[in-house]
Amino acid sequence: MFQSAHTFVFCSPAKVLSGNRALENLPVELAGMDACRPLILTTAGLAVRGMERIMAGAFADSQLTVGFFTGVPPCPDRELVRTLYGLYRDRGYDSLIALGGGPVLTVAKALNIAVSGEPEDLEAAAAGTLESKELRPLTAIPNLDVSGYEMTRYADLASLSLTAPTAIPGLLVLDHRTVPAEDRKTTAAAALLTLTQAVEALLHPGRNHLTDAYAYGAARFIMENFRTALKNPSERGSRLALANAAFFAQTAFDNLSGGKIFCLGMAISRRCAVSPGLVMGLLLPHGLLMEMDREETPGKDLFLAVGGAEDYALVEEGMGLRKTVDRCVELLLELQSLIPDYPRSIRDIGLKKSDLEELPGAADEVTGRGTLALPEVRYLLDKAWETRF
Amino acid sequence: MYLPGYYEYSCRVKIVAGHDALEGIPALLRHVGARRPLLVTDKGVAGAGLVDIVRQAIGDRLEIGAVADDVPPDSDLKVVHRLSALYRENGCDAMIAVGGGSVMDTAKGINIVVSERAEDLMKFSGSGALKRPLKPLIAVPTTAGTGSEVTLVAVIKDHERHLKMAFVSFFLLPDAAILDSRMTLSLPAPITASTGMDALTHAVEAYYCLSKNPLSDVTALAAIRLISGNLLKVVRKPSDREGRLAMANAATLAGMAFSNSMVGMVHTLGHATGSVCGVPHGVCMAILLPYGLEYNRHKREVVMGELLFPIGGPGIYGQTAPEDRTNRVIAYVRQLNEDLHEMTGGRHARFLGEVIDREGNPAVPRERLPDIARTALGDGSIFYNPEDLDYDDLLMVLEAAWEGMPLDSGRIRKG
Repeated sequence: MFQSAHTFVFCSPAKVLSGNRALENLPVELAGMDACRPLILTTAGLAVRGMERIMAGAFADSQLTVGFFTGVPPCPDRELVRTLYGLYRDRGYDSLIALGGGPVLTVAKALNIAVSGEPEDLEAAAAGTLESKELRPLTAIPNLDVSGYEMTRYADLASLSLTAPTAIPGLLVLDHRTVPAEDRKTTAAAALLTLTQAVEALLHPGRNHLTDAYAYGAARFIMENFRTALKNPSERGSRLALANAAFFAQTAFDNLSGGKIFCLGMAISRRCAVSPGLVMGLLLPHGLLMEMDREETPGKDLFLAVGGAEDYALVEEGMGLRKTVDRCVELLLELQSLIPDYPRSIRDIGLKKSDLEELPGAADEVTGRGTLALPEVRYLLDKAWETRF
Repeated sequence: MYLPGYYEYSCRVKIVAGHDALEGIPALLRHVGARRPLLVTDKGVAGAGLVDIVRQAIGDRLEIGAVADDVPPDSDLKVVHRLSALYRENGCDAMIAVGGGSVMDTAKGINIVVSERAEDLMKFSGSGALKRPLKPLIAVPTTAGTGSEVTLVAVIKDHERHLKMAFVSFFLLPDAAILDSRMTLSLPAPITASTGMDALTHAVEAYYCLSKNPLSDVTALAAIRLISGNLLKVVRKPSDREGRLAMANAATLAGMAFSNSMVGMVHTLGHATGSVCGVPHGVCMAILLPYGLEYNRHKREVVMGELLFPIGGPGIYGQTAPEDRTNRVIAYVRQLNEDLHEMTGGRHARFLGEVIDREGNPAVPRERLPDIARTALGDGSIFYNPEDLDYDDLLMVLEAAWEGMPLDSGRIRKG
């Protein structure tokens, strides 16, 4: 794709349905895409929590035939995609619904690439050379257990990292019933991962009016709703706001690329098997302080997104980034007071000093593009290692 | 940030924006497997040299199958069918629409006919008749105003049967919108002014009307900020490339906002004024926007006050008491119209009584106001306005807008 330094490209292909009884509109949307036999993918955990029943209820009055697969594991692999490929073909499904975040969307994207062409297309997607033909209709119904990749072109299927813009789900359904209350740590991790994606989008050198708009919406929803979502998990509006924020931030992220906080957070998370959002939250203040040292910081509007218009209007010129750091630290301290075993340092999540050497390289592999400045990533890592909030 | 109980939002159009965005067209079409597009435009656009700029930017990297440069100002069913035949005869496999609303509507109409192998476009009117993707369509807007490059609607008129048919489908969205500063550099000042006010109205009504949602809000706020920072600049200095590009971005952002949130009484009255008196849409929007704000303020005071931030910037916003913010927003819009009037040598009308037609006669005779009010009652946008309006309310607003006087707050309905 031609793109000069002065030209930007932005795309958000998903239609979103958000709010009361959004699920009930799904059959009509599928019919509008000529899909009448969807296969619903989910995890055993979500099925046990009643999601299968809720989905069946949403389709009860429709003419659509729905299939369920409730066995998506936490770390799906290619073998599972092969199995599901056979199931999809044998039973004549014509579309996919991913019910749940993270691994469910990973499988759904990979399976959609396979069933829309052939299983070998996964290799092309791994090489980033998949033809741009339309895939089968894919609907995402994510919860708050997010990976940050749900509404993006990316999917990590074991050792296979897929990149395919056409794999982004065409429909997103956010319904109170399918965004149930999670444990506080999961909710906190979702909020921090989303905030990190939004903040790094607002600092990104390739940012544009649209990524700014989406990142602004994400950061505002997080800052205005995370307290209520944690203190009163049954307050469904706040949960839905966080789920909306995750979509907005992922869209900005998909149109730019991961920054050093996101990539390092993801690398540490994989090393220590801990939620990436929790790690990113511990890195965020340090990453922002590093931005303050730059001569030209692109994030003039960062505090507008994090602090809101009223507070932004009162901040002295040039103090926005400092105030943003303060807000992020306040947020971390608040989470620590609300969640008993909340990590206060990256040392609390099982990271060893000997891991530090390899992590910048691992962070760079998260984007797969060699775009990160490794000395900066190492500096960020060292700062986080030394700090206890 | 406001989260409604339920909302839907969709804008899958790929946005390509820049001073040399046009150069991206061949790669965009190749990416979707198209090699021979029909270029759809109108005589005004072609005469202004804009088609030449597009062709030059494309160069020999793409073969244009045919050029249809006679789209009329009002979309027409017969033209759609004739150009569909042209598309087929020349073995085209995609379309590039270069122009304003009518060109976009016509291209969308052709796309239905050629993709569905239809004989009669009218079989696909209404909502939901299309079930699958159409041929690739690239939209190149030549005004910064309508936002039709990101809307899923096409309005085609059957002039023989006096029918105006709407086509609504997710599949009517163009594949890409190309926002290139070269497309608006030669736009005359009065049209720059009215189309810019059209975009501002889209964004402002999207923000305060009833179907607002978080994504229409963030795109509307971004649009308003760009317009308040750039509209006067480009009217003053038409060759300001950065300002032109900012306005093109703003119009698209505003298009995304209003097409996902609907609009209110400014459009209700504007559509009717256009229909009864033939006044260009942007002119109506510019004149009526302050009245939409005044009429609805008792129901949307806080939301309207928030608009002072993108309009005035953080300094003015912070220094203004919350209860005074809406007043300043309304005053800003009125002052903007005054400034545009002055900068265009009086050609940007500030009130309906000031609008003149091509012959220099008053375009909106006062005695036509009752006809406009009656016509407005049938416009769908009236349902999305925060406060109710009946015939008397519409006429009261029109009379004030005809004279250029603020509304008498004592006469505004408080439902």
